Amino acid sequence: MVSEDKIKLKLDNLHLSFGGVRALIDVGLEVKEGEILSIIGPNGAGKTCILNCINGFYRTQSGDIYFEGRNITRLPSHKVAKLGIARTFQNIELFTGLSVLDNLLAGRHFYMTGGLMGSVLGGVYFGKAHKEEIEQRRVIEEIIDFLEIEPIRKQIVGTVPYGLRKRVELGRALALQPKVLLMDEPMAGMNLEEKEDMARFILDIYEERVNTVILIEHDMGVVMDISHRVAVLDFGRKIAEGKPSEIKSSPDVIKAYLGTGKA
Amino acid sequence: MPGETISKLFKETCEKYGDKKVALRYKNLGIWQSYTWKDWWEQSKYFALGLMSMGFKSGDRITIIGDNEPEWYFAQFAAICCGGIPTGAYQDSLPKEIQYVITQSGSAFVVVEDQEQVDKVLDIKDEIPAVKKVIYWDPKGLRFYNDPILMRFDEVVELGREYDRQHPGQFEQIIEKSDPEDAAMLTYSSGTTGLPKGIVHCSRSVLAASRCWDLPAPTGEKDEFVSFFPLAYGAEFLYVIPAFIKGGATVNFPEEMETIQVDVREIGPTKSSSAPRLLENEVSFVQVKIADASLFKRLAYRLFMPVGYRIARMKLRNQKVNLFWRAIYALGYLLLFRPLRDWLAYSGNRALLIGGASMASEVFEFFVALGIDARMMYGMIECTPTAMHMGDDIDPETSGVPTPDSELRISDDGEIISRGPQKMLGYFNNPEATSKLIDEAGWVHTGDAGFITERGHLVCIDRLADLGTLADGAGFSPSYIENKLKFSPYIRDAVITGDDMDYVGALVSVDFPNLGKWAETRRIPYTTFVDLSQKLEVYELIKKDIMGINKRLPEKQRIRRFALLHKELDADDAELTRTRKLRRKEVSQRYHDMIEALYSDKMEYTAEAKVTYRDGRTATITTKVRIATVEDEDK
Repeated sequence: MVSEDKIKLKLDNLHLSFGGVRALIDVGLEVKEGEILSIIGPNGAGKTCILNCINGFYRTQSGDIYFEGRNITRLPSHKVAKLGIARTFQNIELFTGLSVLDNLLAGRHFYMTGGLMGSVLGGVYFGKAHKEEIEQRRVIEEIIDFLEIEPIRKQIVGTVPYGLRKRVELGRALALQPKVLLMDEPMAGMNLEEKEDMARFILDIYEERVNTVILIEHDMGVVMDISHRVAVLDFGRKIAEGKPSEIKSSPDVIKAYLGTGKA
Repeated sequence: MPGETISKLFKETCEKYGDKKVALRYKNLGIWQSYTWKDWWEQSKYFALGLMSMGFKSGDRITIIGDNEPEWYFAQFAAICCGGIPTGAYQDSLPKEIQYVITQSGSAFVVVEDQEQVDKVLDIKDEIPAVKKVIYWDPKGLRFYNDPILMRFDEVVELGREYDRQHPGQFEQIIEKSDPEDAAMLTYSSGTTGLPKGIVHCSRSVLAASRCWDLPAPTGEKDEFVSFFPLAYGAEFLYVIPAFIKGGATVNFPEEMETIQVDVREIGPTKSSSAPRLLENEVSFVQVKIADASLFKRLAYRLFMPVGYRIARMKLRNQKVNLFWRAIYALGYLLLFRPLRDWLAYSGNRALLIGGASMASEVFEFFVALGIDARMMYGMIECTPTAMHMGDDIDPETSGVPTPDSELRISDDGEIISRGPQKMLGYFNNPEATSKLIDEAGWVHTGDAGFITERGHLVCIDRLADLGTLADGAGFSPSYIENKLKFSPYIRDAVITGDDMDYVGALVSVDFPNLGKWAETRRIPYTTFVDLSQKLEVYELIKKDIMGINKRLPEKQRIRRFALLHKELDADDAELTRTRKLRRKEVSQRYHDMIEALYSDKMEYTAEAKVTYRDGRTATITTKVRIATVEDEDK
């Protein structure tokens, strides 16, 4: 449930430019604990830039990002991930040559304690490393069960159909047991049935696993159905923010999407 | 044993093995987990008592909807043990189909698997006011559902434990009082003709059916079975489960319906029950995979499969196989048959019972060639099995001889009639239909046309009502020809027409995955099902298959014209039943115009189909369907 007072993630006056291109202009956004926040906007509005800034892939020129009150603006990506922010990508970034299981296990990287020696010994299955492997596998199997990808668990990701790969990538993000999940267009390129499944999974994840989700999505039906709040970007500026019903009727939003004139 | 009932048998076995032996095995998080007989006993007992504490009485019904999982059995045996009648609805049923089962059976409790089924039941909640509780066993995604009608499976079990403390021994007393004539099973017919009818079986009939099923290879403690047929169908409960309880064997459940192939191979069931449809698919699967295999494997297949068929035919005719052929077969077994058996999960198989429909003898011989003890069984679920292959007396063209205790005759109209202890009690709340099926002398009128061979074997030709007559009076059996067609790996379904016409015609639905592969290897580009099915090359391919089949048919019954359907036949469109049987009436109405075109001189037909999308929009799709003529090969 949305808690009004607990701010999970806060973006403060973010500015990001690439040479002369201003990608984000003075973007401020507060994400409350327990909400699904969707970011929408036309192509090139800067939606993915926001996610890239949050998880330390892009460096902002000015502005700050706070996660649970802590300033994470200058943290490198792996440290941001370790704090509990996981994401999925628009174009699916999986290890295509590895099996689904191995891809998911990669998401458990931070939870593996065995050092080099332990891992070497783990190769022949001894003591701690052996136990750890089993423990990690159990966590992964729960995610496999959760996302209903049992039939493909041993398949090489490169041979798995697109819709399922999206699910595998989501699984890898969940393997991190994150506090906040960032999803970049999880429904892109899917048919109606796959979209329905994915929407169901997002809601299930929200209810069972991660209680704060930031979602970038173009499918308005999905956005309006499942998000608590929606933020709208246009040319790097945040032009609106509010409940789905408010966003639907906001003249600024209609203008950004449809141009001027009557909607 | 006189007075034996399912619940008494269940109790005896549970007491005998307790926690020393695995009764049910299921896969969770990728690892096989097990329930011992004691676990099963407790789950069923407390679930039953939980239901009773909420007002469930002897004779009441429950409806169970879900995939094959241990909880299905828990709920089923809970209901049986406390004198109730469990029934099931298919997992993929639409809400209105579920509503029919719940309403017709008058169930006060509905036990479902997961969110998907819960959503469907809540959808029709207003239509089923008699339902007191909807109980689910997989809570995923249901955390924030707060409808008071919902209840978790383990909550009911908890209620039962509490009830047991207040009423100790009550459950066992009910079991002691159970009678072989008490209804213990309610299953709905597939509804090939109209609304499904509820078939009620009692302990006497179920145990008799199972005894017959078990004859070829009596079930023992080491036997393994994999449950994957929809449990709502009832066949598994009728044939397998009593035998498995009696023998103290183990039933396994696949992890998901999609992982069946892997899971079955891991278990290696020793006994299996299958349907022609599945076996046809397995043969197609092998044929297609072999085409993709390495040179050596293709060679082995090409070389030894004919040997296998040869030996199979000799074995089936009870001829002595001489040393030479036995040696060749042994080599073939090593190189081909054993690996194939392993791949198809028949490595440890002791008996394969096939029933539910008739099957092409080619498919049957394939399995015999692999060295599998395959047998056909005949019977309608109302009274089954009434015939089966006994001992060495096996003929792939027949369904075997009458089972012990049962009588089988052909009536004067050519209808197969039978009676025996495996006969059902009657249709649920439908005495009219019951008296139509069972006459005063107790004979069950199956509605199947058949005859008895010189060897005393039963041959079921087709449904009596489906038998066709050409305009010149020559008879033909649509399903006989359809089964021959379905043996082709590229044909998934076929509809044979020709009643009152000059010749036999066929509507063929192609097998998209197999045909797609074929097209790829021949560099034939295609996009969708419609596109592929209407390729000239595909027509040529299917035509060649049909010509091959025509050669083995009497001249009058040969297929003269055919069309490839632009869509797959689908249960959602009411063209097939949920067990994938053809609904002939619906299909011939739906494709009436196309069938008419088969009997004109048109070479093309424009099909218009109304499609209803999920969101309620409708659209009309027009497709041009080719019609091809088949000539005799020698002309």
